[in-house]
Amino acid sequence: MDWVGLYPTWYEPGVGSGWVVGIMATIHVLASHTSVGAAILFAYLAVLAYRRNQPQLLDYIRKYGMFLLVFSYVIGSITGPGIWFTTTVASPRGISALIHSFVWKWATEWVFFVIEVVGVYLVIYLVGRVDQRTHMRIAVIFGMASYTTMLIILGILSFMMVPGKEVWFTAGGYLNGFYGSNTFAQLAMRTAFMFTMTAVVGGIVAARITDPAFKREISRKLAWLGIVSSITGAALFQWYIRTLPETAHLVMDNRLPSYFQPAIITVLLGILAYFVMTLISSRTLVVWGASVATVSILLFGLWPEEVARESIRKPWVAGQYIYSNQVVGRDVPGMNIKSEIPLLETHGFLKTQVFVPNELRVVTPDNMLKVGESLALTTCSNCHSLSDTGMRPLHRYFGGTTNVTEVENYLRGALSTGATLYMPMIPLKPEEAEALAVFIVNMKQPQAAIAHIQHKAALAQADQAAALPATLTQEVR
Amino acid sequence: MNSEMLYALRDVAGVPSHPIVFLVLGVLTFALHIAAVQVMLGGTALVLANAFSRNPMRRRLAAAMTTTAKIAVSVAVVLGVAPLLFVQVTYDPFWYTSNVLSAWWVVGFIVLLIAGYMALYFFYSRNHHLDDPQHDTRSGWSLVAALALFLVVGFIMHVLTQQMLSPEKWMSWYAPGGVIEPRGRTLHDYNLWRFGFFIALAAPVTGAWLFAYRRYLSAGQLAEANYLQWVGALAARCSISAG
Repeated sequence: MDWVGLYPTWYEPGVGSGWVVGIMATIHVLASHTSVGAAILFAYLAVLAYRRNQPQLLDYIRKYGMFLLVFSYVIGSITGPGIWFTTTVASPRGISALIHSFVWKWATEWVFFVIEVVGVYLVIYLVGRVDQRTHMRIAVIFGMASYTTMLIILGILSFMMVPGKEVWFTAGGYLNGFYGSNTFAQLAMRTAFMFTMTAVVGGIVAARITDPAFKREISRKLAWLGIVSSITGAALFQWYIRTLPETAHLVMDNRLPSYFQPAIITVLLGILAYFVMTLISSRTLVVWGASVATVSILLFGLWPEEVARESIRKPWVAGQYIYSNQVVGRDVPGMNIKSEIPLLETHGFLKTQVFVPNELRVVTPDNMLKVGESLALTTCSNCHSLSDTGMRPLHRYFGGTTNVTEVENYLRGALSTGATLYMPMIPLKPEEAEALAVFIVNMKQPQAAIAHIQHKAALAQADQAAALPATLTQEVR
Repeated sequence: MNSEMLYALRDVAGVPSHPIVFLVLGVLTFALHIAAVQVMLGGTALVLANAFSRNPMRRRLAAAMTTTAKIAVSVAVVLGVAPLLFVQVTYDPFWYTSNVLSAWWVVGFIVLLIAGYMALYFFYSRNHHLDDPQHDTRSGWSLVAALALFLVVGFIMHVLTQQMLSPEKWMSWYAPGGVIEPRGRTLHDYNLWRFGFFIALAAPVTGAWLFAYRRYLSAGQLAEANYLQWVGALAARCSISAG
C-alpha cells in the first residue's frame, strides 16, 4: 500500500506553532526591510555626499550602519534562516515545497546576501579610509545587492500565496511559478513600506545628531521619505489586494476581524502624523519617540499584516497545492504531483500516515481518545490550538455542542467532503471521524467523551457476546 | 520505519537537478561555513584567555580577536544559509524529521544564537580599550555567556544531524511506548566524540587564522617583531595541539 509522507507533528501548546513562525517572520520583516531600505538610502546619501562634498552625510551613514549592524544584521540575518527553522518544524512539507521549487532562486539570493553582508561592513568601515567616489560606488553596489535579495524572496513569497501564472499547474516551469501579478504588486508595496521603516528607524540615529542644522536636514529627508512611502504604500496595497486569489478574498470577507482594516488605517495615519510632526520641527525627533514609532510599526502594523497574510492563504500553505495540514490537496500535472486526497479517501489517515504508532492504526474503545488526539495533531493543529490558548482553539468551532455524534456528523458531512470554506478537505474514514469527535468533545467536556467511549465499549462487548455462541457452535461442528 | 516510508517522505516535486550537484555544493559551502564557525569559536576562546591579562601583547591579541569573532559570527551565519538550503533539497526526509522531533530546540537555536551574538557585541561595546592593559576588562560574564551559547547552538546542530542517522529510532522518539509526544522538547541522540571532533578543529583552523593575521600585520608593518614572534608561536601551538 502507498504511504502519505506526512512528517511528525510539532505541537506547541502555549501559542501554537503558527504563531511561533509569525513572531519570527514579523521580527525578520522589520529588520530586513529596514536594512534593504537603508542600503538604498545609504547609496543615495553617499551620492549626495560625493556631489555636494558633504562628509557629515557619510558620518550619518556610518552611525546608522553601525546601529543596523546590531539591530538589523545580527537579528535580521539570524531570523532569516530562523524562518526556515521555524517553518521546518511547523510546516515541513510547506517549506519543502518552496525549497524544491526554488532552490536555485534561493541560491541566487544567497549570493546577493553575501555581497550585502560584505557590503555593509565595507560601507561602514571604509568611511574616510577610501576616496569618496570609491565609497559611493561601494554604497551603490551594496544598495543594489540588498534590493535584489528582496526581489528574489518576494517571488517565492508570492508563490506561497498563489503560483505566478495559472499555467504553472499544467506546464510547470519555475519562472511560471515565480513571476505573476502578485509578485510585482507585493514587491512594489513592500518597497514603499520598507522605506517607511527605514525612515522610522533612521530617526533613532538622527535624533542623536548634535548639530541642529544637520539634524534638521536629515530629519526632513527622513520625514519626506516616510510621508511619500506611507502614502504610496497605502495606494499600492490596493493593487496588491486586487492580485490576490479568489480564496483569499473569501477569507478576507468572512474571517478577518472587523477591526482589521480600521486598525491598519489608524496605524498608517499615526505614522503619517509622526512624520509630519518631525518635518515641522526636528526638535520633536527624539530617541524614545522614534523607538516607540518603531515598536508601534512592529506590533500594530507588521504583526497584523503577517497574521492576515497567513490567514488569507487558507486552506493552502504553499502554491495552492499543499494544504495547511501538509496534505497534497490537488494534482499539479506540470510538476508530476498527484493529490493525496484519493488515497486518504480510500484508506484513511491511520492506515497511510507514516508517523502513527501501530497501537493507533485500528480504532477501539480503548484507544479512541488517543487516536483522536493523533488525528487532531495531524489534521488540525497546524491552524488550531488543541488547548484553550494560542491560535483559533479547536473546541470553539463546533457551536458549543458537547454531543459526539453532532461533531462527528459535521466532520463527516462538511469537512471530509471539503464543503467548508477556507478549510482543507479532510477525508476522514467514519471511525476516524468518530475518534476525532471524541477528542474534540473531550477538550470541552470530558464526561461526555468518556460516556461515549463507555457506550462504544458496551456495544463492542455485546457484539462479542453475540458472536461467541456462533463461534462455539462452529468449533463444535 | 522501512524504506517505503522513507521514500514517501521525499518531497513530491522531486529534486530539481541531479542530487550530486547539491551534494557537491552542500559539502563545499558547509566547509566554508564550518571554517567560519571554528574561527568564531577559536577567536572567542582566545579573547577569553587573553582579555583579563595585564600583558600588552595578550591584550592586543584579545582586542583583535574580539573584532575577528564578531565578524566571524556574521560570516558563519551567512555561509551557513547555503548548506542549510542544500541539505533540505537532498536529505529532506532525514532533516525535517530530525528537526520536528526536537522542534523546541530548533527554535531555541535561533534565540540562543541571537543571545550569544548580542552578548559578544555587548562585551565589545563595553571594552573599546581592550588593547590597553591600563584599562580593566569589563563585563567578562558576557564573553563567557557568548562562548557558552555558541557551544550550545553547536551542540543543538550536532544533535539534529546525529538524529538524521537513525531513522529506525524515529518512531520510538516520536511516540515512546506508543504515546505521541509532539512537543519536541527532547534532544534524542548525540555523540560527544563527533561533537568534540568538530569543536577541537577550532584549534588548528584558528592557528591558520593567526598565521594569516601575523602575515597581515607583517606585510603592513603594523606590529613590532616581538609581537609577531609571539603570535607566530601561538599559531603554531594552536595548529599542533589539535593536529
